[in-house]
Amino acid sequence: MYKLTILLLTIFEGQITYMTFYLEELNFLNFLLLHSLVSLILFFYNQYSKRDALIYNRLSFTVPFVGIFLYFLNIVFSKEKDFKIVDEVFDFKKYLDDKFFLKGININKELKLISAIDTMNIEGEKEKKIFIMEFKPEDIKIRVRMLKKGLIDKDIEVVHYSAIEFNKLSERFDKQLRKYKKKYLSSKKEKDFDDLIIFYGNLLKNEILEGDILNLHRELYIKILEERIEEDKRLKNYIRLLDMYLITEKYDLVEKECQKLSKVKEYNFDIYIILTKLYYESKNLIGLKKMNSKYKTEEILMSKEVENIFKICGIER
Amino acid sequence: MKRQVICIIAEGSYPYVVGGVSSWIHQLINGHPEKYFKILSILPSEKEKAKVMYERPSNLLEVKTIYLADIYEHRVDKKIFMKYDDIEENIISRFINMELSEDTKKALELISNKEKSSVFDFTTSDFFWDKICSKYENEYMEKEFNNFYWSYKSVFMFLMNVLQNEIPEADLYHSVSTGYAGVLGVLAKIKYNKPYYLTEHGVYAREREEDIIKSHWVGNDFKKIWIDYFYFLSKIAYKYSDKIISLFKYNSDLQILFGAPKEKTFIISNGVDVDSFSKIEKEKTKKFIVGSILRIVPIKDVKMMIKAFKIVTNTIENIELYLIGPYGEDTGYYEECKELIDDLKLNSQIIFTGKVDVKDYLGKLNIFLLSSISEGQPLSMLEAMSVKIPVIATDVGDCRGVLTNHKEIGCAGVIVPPTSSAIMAAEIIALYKNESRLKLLGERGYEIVNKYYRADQFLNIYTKLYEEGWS
Repeated sequence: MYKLTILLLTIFEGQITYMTFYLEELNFLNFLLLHSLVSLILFFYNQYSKRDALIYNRLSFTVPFVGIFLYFLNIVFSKEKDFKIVDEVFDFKKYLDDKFFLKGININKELKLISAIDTMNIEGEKEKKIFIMEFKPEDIKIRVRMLKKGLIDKDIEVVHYSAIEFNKLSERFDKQLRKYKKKYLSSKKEKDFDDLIIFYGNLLKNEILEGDILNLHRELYIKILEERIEEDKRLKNYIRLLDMYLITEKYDLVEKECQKLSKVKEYNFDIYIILTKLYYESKNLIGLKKMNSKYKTEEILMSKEVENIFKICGIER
Repeated sequence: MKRQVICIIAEGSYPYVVGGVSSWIHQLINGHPEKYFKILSILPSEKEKAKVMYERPSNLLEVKTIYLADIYEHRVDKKIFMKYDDIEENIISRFINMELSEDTKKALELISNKEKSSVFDFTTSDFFWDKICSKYENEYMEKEFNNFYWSYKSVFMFLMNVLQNEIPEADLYHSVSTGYAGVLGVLAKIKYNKPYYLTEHGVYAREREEDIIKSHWVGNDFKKIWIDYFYFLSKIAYKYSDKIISLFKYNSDLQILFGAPKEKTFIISNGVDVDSFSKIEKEKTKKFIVGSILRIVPIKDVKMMIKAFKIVTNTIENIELYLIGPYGEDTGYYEECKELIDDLKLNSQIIFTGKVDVKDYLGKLNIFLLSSISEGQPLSMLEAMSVKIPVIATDVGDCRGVLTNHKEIGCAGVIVPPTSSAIMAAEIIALYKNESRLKLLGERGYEIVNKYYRADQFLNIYTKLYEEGWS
């Protein structure tokens, strides 16, 4: 009976530890109370069974102290972890350019987005309606996100106006895409191709298309590029194609094409960027290290993007 | 015995354009064989050469068509001078300023009187010029005058042109929207001293507002002129109509919000011939067939449905999409849909039936889809429900109300956000995988339509209203 009690108490202890340190569902007070409960059970059980109180009661007193010790140990380690995160967040330098402006972040855009989210979250139906009609930021993606938010609003009027605007936007892009396609297919000129592929590329990024339809359009985009490349072997077409291969996770094709292209030395600045991205996306640390040494031996300038990838992965120049 | 003559005033619909409103008018006429009907139909221009799309009911006496933009008096050699006195000019002034007052009735009478002034004389008069200039100076001074002038002038040219047409004589006038149809209804009421009823399937002013906002033909600075104008026309119709009917509560509340006196408002839901539709037998086929009864026009967002269908084909192999309805109204959009189908390689799985008897196709459908971005209370959905077909519809108009608000019966379909093809696809797949739910939703749909949306119910209410207006 005594052994069974100890077994049950041990399981209970295990559960408390699991809930506190792994699931993080118990706070310090609850943790302490439960540990004390285990000690009390042990203490009274020992008293009742008249066992050697000196040995067994020592155990009952130790249990909460071990618990408290474990708890503080966890706090110290998690603080250490937090410090690292805080260090990362407050390491502003790498986000600043030469003039100490934030780089890569468009403050204006971010503010617009925050204010847009606020309006869609808080304001009434009338304000939302005006906002939906008049909020036309340069970045289509922001507008698309707001309209999608409007489409699932509780107010049917907000849903209605969002639907009208979203439909208008997607129709506009659809029509424009068809126009560019027709123009290119009839002329096959380089300029018409560039117009089409730039527009198509933007459409694939602006979040109007989603899910399987987006994937389908990505495949159509790839097909157009592959066909064009057979006769128009400009590097920027390859770069566009390789970028889309990366997005669609066609990693073997990226590697194969890059190997072919890297035979031309002047392509390497761009091709190495793609390869670095490829190894990063496919979590290939050996590949990344290989790229890093290639950069060193071939003395190729590293783009900021590549530099950041190496930094994130802990590979220093 | 004298039979009551009812003049239905329709804008951009019956008998030339197939759609929900036109089907409703056709149903109303056929459902009242004891009465005579006349149709006053307003179309944009004679150049569009509209064809009659419905078989003429035997009790339809006359179809008179008015063309909004065909202003024949626009010839200088016909110029005669305006004959309004000072008081009349004051009344018209207020009307031009879009002020709704006790004189509005008189203003309509004056403007509609050809003897007083033709459209051309009026819109080229010093009086009109002065009014426009003063409006410009007061409200639009910073904007470009030229565009302002033409926007404002067009507004009144169209209205005056419509009002100067002869209105057929009848015992009761019934317009199926506000706007030009509504103002003609009011004018008929004034001229012949007969009752005027208004039924709105959507809310006209709001729909025009959306059109104007979307449009490219009117500059952003002057969109307000057109929007205010359409709201003004609606207010006129609301003020002078004897009964203001809408299809569901939400729209009725909107009408009140836009100026309709609450005591004149009624709700009369659409109705379908449940007995006839419920006789349609479900065809047994190995294929899973989804479809819709619709016109192939942008407002139905057919492309969204096609995209959703494409996603579904990745999961359900043996599936087909039937698009049941005419595709001649917007051939450009139809071609775009066909191109999309080509791109998605769905040619063998999507069928455009063209204009057919829907009863021949409803038996095939396992799920009825509605992907519109704007609706009233879609008759097509009610028809599908009366054949026990479960519905997946976008959250527009009264779809949510019809499908989910009859708590004692339960939900008869699924509501998805408009323009969301991925969600519609997910719901089709979910229903496909749950045969018992598919059946349950169908049964409930039938129960809802049979209880609340029967044609005889809606026709009886109109019969009573017409009788009331005659006695």
